Amino acid sequence: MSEISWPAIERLIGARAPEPATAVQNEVARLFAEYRAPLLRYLHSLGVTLPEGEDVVQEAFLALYCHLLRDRPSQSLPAWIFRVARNLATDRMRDSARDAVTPEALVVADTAASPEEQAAGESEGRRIRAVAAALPEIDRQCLYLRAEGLRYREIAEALGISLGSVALSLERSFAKLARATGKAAL
Amino acid sequence: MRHDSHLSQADLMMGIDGELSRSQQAEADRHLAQCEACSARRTELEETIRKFTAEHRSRLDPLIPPGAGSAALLRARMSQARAVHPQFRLARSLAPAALLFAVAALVLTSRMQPANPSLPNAGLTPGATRVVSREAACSLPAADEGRTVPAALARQVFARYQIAHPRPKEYEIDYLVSPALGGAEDDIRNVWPLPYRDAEWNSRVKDALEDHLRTLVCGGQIDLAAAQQEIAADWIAAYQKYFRTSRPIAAHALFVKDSPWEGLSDQ
Repeated sequence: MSEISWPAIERLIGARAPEPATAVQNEVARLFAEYRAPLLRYLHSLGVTLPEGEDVVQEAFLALYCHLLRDRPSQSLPAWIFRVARNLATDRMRDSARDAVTPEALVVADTAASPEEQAAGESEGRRIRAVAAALPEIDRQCLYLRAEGLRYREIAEALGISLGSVALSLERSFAKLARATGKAAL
Repeated sequence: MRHDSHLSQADLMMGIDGELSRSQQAEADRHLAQCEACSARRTELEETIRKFTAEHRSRLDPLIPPGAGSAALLRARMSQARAVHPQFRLARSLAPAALLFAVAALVLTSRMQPANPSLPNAGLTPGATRVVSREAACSLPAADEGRTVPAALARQVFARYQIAHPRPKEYEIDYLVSPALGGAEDDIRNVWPLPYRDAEWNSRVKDALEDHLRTLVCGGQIDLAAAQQEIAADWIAAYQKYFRTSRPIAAHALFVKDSPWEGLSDQ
């Protein structure tokens, strides 16, 4: 007889008993290792600096830990963690509006600070960044969440929009990016 | 996606992202195998996606520090949070506060005679909260939608309030301090049967107060702890204070957010 895992047993008996806290800690640590860098990149696309992003990611995972101890998760955990991280970041930026760096400002700063890039590559990279920065808010978010490997359903959950909107948004954004990378490069 | 027509840009993209259904994918593959134009468009789209992803990662990844330090910090913070988790917490630091709550609420209820059915018995339901920061509370969804009190807890609540044969929809098993304001769930000290519609101060009126307090807390106008304390001590007084009225506002009595208790059919 094959071995049955603890989550499988829990599913089988439909128990509401909370998982042992250490098991939840291990699960959160595993998700942290997997999603820390994607979250930092995503938060950066929202205008959050890397050091600030580290704080936000800590808060988000601590919230995830409490959430898992308390409730039975009702949606995809990656979608949950991206949504909570975005909300935490938005609150922070509202609280310190004067210090907030806009994505556009980051683009300018980063463009200036890449001298080692090849000239051709640099101009294309610059165009890509400019197009991404100019996208409507929701389109930009869909684009960056997709770049972090989220499924369309997870993107829809994270942003609170419909599945169809995600596909349409990505289609629009990649059409704009294609114009910036393909034809303009000729 | 018609069998003989070219693939749309959305179909191409969803195909690349593995978001088509199995049959849609098979049909797209069949078309791509025989249509050069669509094949070329697909290659072009893949190239755009690759360039965007490479641009996004190459710029940032070298700047991201290794994660070992922050992973260790998270571990430490989880262990710390566990030590003050509701189950363990009340026995320790917050026991005096809970006692104070209970005493304060008892004094309050003993002063109003006869007891208002819309207020909980403070001895049974002093209110209980979980450890949560304002940021964390406000980043969670505002509504407690779909949150249902487990049947076992509902039975326990009716037993404690000596309600032998509750009629379905007569009550809402309500949280005194709502979870959206950091109230404890699944904690018998934070739930009681509130008349759903027959009383003047019913659960829908309380829902309006909860939403309003959350807005004030998340807008930084009042402290989360203060909001919890006011709603736990006397939610009707809190309503009167924050909406500046002695009677419930008519629109609030029509406010529908949470569902009533539907009966013990699931026993």
